[in-house]
Amino acid sequence: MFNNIVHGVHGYTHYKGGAGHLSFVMHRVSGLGTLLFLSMHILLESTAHYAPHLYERLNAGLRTPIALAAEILMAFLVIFHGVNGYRIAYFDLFHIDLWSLPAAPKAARATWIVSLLLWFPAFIIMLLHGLHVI
Amino acid sequence: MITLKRETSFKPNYEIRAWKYMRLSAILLVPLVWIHTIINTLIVGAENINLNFVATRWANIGWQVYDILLLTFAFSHGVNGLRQVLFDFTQSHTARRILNMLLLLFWILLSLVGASAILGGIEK
Ligand code: HEM
Repeated sequence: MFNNIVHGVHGYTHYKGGAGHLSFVMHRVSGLGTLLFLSMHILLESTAHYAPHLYERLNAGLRTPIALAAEILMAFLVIFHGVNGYRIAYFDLFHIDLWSLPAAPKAARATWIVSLLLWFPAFIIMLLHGLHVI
Repeated sequence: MITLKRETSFKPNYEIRAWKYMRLSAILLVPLVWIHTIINTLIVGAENINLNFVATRWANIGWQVYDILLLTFAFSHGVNGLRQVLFDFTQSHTARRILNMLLLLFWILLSLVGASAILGGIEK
């Protein structure tokens, strides 16, 4: 297993697959990052029911610049994963015939542009909200 | 130009169904996850989220249903995704069985914790 991981991660960073490969790695990283966030989020929100005082403490304790920066990064991950996931689902489920070698990297690049355009306003709004609490 | 044509006439196994499920749940997840995030982070904002806010939310059957759907689809999609990633690094049948058991346990446990909190709400 350990050897597999070393080989696998080496492949992630060294394989010369261009835009499509970058999307694959980013989809993995953003999916795993979102799952880590979601697991902590489920446990944290559950304390509202199981231990309300602890919820208040944790909630207040998370109003820090580092937490805000992490949330803004998290927003990018979930936007990218969603947009890129739609690209994957659309071609795989509905238009496998449209997949071609020149078209695929173009779609992968468009995914980045759409994600960044959606993230930018979210970034600003989160920053403005964040200034109230940190 | 490469064109792909598939002719499938076999019975789908678990992995095929999981592959499909990742894509079908994906269609639901963009509205579910993004609306949740747009409301809570962009419209309401972190400064207004506290115990009282959560209590109001979980006193409303509509939001309880919404949160249960979100928990069900996002978490099952995420844990199955983690399974896909881990299987890329494990070939042995035994290791995969153990991973499956651990992931199933993790999925059931957190789903129960989350769902019971949503349905239980906050006592005032
Ligand atoms: C926002 C809407 C979402 C969309 C459109 C989406 C779409 C997808 C798709 C289509 C796949 C399959 C990729 C493949 O098999 O190659 C996938 C994988 C994955 N997703 Fe999502 N997803 C979404 C939300 C989430 C959430 C909320 C989580 C975490 C809880 C998550 C975690 C994962 C993980 C860990 C994988 C596996 C990555 C891999 O195999 O490389 N996704 N997603």
